[in-house]
Amino acid sequence: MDKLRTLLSVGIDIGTTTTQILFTRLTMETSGGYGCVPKTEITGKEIVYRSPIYFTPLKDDRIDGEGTAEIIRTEYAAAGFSPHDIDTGAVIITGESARRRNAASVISAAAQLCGDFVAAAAGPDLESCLAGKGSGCCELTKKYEYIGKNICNLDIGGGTSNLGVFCGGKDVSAACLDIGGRLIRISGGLVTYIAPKLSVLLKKHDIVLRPGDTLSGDMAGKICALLTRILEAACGLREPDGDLALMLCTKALPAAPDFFTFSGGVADCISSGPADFRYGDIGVYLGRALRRSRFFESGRVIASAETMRATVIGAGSYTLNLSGNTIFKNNVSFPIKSLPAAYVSLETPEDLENFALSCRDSLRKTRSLYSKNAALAFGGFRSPTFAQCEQIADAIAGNAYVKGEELVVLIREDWAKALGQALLRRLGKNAKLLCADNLNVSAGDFVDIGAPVKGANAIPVIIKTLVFG
Amino acid sequence: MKGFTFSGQSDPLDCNITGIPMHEFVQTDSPAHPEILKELKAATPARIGSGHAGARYNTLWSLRFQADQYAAAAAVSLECPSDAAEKLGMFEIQTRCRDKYEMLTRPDLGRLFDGETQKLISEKCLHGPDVQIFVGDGLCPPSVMANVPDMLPAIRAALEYEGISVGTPFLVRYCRVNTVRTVAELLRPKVTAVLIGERPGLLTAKSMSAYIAYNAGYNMSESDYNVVSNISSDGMPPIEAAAYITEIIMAMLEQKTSGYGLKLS
Amino acid sequence: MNLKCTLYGEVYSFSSVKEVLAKANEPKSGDMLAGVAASSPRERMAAKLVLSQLTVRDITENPSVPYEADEVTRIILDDLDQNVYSSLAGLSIGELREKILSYGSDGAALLRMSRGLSSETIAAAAKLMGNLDLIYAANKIHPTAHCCTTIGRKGIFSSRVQPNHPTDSVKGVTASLLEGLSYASGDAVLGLNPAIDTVESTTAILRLLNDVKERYGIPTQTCVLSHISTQIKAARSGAPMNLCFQSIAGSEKALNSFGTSAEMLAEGLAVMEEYSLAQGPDYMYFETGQASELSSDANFGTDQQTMESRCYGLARHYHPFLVNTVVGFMGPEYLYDGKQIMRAALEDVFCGKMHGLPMGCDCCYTNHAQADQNDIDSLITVIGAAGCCYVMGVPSADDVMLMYQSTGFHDIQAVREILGLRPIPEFEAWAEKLGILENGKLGRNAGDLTIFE
Repeated sequence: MDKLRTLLSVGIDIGTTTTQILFTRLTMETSGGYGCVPKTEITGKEIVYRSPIYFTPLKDDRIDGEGTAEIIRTEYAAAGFSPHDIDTGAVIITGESARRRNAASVISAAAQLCGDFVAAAAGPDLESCLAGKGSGCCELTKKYEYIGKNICNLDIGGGTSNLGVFCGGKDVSAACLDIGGRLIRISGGLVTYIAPKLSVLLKKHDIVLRPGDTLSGDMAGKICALLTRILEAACGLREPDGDLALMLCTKALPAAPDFFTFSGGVADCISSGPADFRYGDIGVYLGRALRRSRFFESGRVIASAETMRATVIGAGSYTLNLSGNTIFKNNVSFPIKSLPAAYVSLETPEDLENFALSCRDSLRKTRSLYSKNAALAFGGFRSPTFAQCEQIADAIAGNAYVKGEELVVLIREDWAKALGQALLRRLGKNAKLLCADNLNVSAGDFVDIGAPVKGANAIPVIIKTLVFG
Repeated sequence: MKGFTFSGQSDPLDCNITGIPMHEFVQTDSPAHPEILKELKAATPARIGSGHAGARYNTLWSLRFQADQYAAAAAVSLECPSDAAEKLGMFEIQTRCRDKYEMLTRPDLGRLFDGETQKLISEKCLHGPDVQIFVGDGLCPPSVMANVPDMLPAIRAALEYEGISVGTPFLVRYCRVNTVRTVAELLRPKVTAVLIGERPGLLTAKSMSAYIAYNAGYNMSESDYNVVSNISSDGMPPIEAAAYITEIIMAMLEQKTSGYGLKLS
Repeated sequence: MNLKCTLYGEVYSFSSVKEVLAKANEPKSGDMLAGVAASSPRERMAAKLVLSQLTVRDITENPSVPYEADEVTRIILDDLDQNVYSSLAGLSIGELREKILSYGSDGAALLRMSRGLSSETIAAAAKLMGNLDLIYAANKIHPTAHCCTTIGRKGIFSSRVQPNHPTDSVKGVTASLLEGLSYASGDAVLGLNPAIDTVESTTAILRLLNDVKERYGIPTQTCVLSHISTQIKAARSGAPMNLCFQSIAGSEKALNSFGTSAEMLAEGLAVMEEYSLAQGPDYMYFETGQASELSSDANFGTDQQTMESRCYGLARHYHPFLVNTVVGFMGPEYLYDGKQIMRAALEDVFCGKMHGLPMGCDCCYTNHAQADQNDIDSLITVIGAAGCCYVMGVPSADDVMLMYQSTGFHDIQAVREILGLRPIPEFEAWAEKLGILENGKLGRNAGDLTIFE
């Protein structure tokens, strides 16, 4: 009954300050009772190797690509894996690193170095989501005592704070602020760096601080209390003001969460008390300020399962999706990599009317934008009739198929096999055709699609969001 | 009389009460945490959030249950419409059960045909096709017209495209699953499949199952069937079930076996 | 041994004890399907008359399945207390019926008598009883068992919360579980029928049930009703278990068709004695139901009520904490309508209690039977009067996984109020503390599943 299979997944987080690598063994299980269509799910996540925490290698204003590659090579060797051993995973570039000019090229190169089926990903919302999953916050919201509650994970790193809100095991909203432990750097008792946005904020509050100044503990505490108040405002624990607007780099959270978890480097400074400027920054002070903040009033904070490594765990364990088990594939060679998605509206029978045209337009646009093949994606239509399915197949065959190219269709609801068979009848047995369901793909996403899971039919899919700051 | 809260509808006479989704049907008296109740309601089709009048159910709650139960029981006792076979483009036959009573109490007769019916099947049907598919009313006659018009053409189209011969379909009244054995003995197809109504619950009164076997017959065992159940527009969509059934049939023809031994990947 | 009688001026003769037992049975569609039923009400009456004159010895010495061929028969007969049996062997079944009903036999006396009675003998007595006889006799007996709490005491009417979900979703199960607890249901057990029978899934639900029990300090038991082999594996790998469940049947062949055996049941008990978190000493939970032997072609020409009684003979070997018949689940092929379901339920509760078991009853029907919820309303009330130890608590009586209708939380509370019955005292105190019950009635917080935080 249970067919077990494991995948080796790598996660790499290139953050503002630190870079980490982690290898996870994912266990997949296919279950199905009498008469039930089998269902494949990821049931276990075991971390098999954690790298030490490196400082992110920087060269001038850019990320040092060769330095990054060196870290990857060293850690693969230490873990005893080669890129061929890796089944899946993601390299995510986070925080201020994602805003550096060569971010896109560095992570693409890093991903290629890591294995054939490792995705490159970036984007503040994705970061918030992965950190919240990696910290265990998302898992918490599945527990019965938190049913109906919104729990927000605050992943506070060197340069940014990523807020991911979860409810019932799903991510519901996210936000990002330019607040972190390394907004001010100190060396030999002197300030060496002040983040530009922080300078604006300090000026606003008549605090004078320049590189070369000494930073007293009192002053560090005062600045961190200010930053903490902004985080409180971002989480609805205080009225929003101009300071919040200044430090937000995305939209604010739509509603105040009920509970909080903390992850990221600063989270470790909340409970323990290392020496004041231990890390050459204000992280320790920010942790202390948080400990005294409104977050810790009236039992709102829940301990996290992971702090420092939340994002890298998220990248390694939570970027993989599995399709439904009834899918359709014909002459497809896996993996299919970095395929952009053309999203078409097909939510109700009424949408059928314009479906053929929207297919053609959307695919044409996406293909020309990225100068490559694109996948067709839609969702919302639960159970088409045979006639409607035939009509949909006609529209796709007539408007979306390019001879010799792979036709990839990704559906949210469960009827990919039906559509696949209908398309095969129209396109013939030589057509390269893949229809998969149970996949929630949005416009602008890219997908990596792997070979079917052994012992089942489900295919692993990484849905990538690439948004650079 | 207590109304129900989430749906926003208020007049019980106008709102088609059995049509209100179960997760919107709530009568709990001033819950401590309405948002939790809402989330728990969404997590299960079970009838929770009932409220109470003394130690009994509220009026609308009780009426909703009775209405759903009546619909399920009625679905069992309904006859397949007399023109169903014609609409599906097939002919109709009946098992040795003479009526609904025998259908329900004599599963042994619900799998057999009398001599004349056997002759009719033999005369009208293609013998020795790769696949024989037929339709049975089973314990839920309304499931036939709800699902077969989408399922059968999909299965046929897909099989015929693969060059697989599909036998002459027919509709069996008062049909039990094991009619498959009898039909297989009469027509000797490689694969025999019945699309049959499954016992209705209060959630759905239109669900169908497919029982499929390679080299079926009197001597097969129950574990030789492959089963696809919960086929309905609320469960597994009929067209997707049809595509899955097609693949099961093709796997059976290729592997020359069925049941637990059949590999489906 | 006389298998002949004259009635209505006609001579009726029977060829075996088994035939007499079958034909004396009240009408059941399953016995007709099996071809063992009386061909007419007259023949049924003749069989009852003959049965009334057969002795306890006649019935005991003619088991439904031969001793040599069947482990269930061996367990039933080997477990008999020979001293008690000797003192009863000469009684006719008619006399046995009167002895059971007499003022001279109180509950304790019946439990002593039980040790000398084979399952067929107890079934025979039931066949001579009307429905009120069965209620009257069953109500006298109070077999108790202890796991974490004690079930079966006089005046106690317990219930199992059955929080089933179509896909075993943890949240979905939680939803129904909390609703049940909020109506003071669940003092017998928090017990789920899983949709997926794997060790992982069983363990996940066991953890949930145990967490809820511990978190809210609920004095009760927990159980996931997957196959016994799955539960044994789960227990050995550290899943938090109180009870071990299995569906059982009245012959070795039928037991095997359930993928189990007497040996496996013994293993289940031994594993529970080692791994159960509960105090015990009673760790097993069995479900039964008339005609499961027929449906697996393992009834050996025996009527379904007699085969059902043999389940209880098997069950008592393992001194279970819970046993219940799932009376109407098999469908109209075996129990046609509400009347047959009620008859079977009363027979089962009497026979179970007469075996010394803390007997429960899933008062239920499927949608293809000639029954509706009114039949179940009557049945649960009557079964409460018969001293049935526990019933099922399903949200508003509709099981969304097994697709049948049973009894709801409201029904249990209504019967408690009508008949002056109560939940197990520790559980009642817990429910009173949370405002779910107030002086035995539903309290200010009853029915609000969101009071659990």
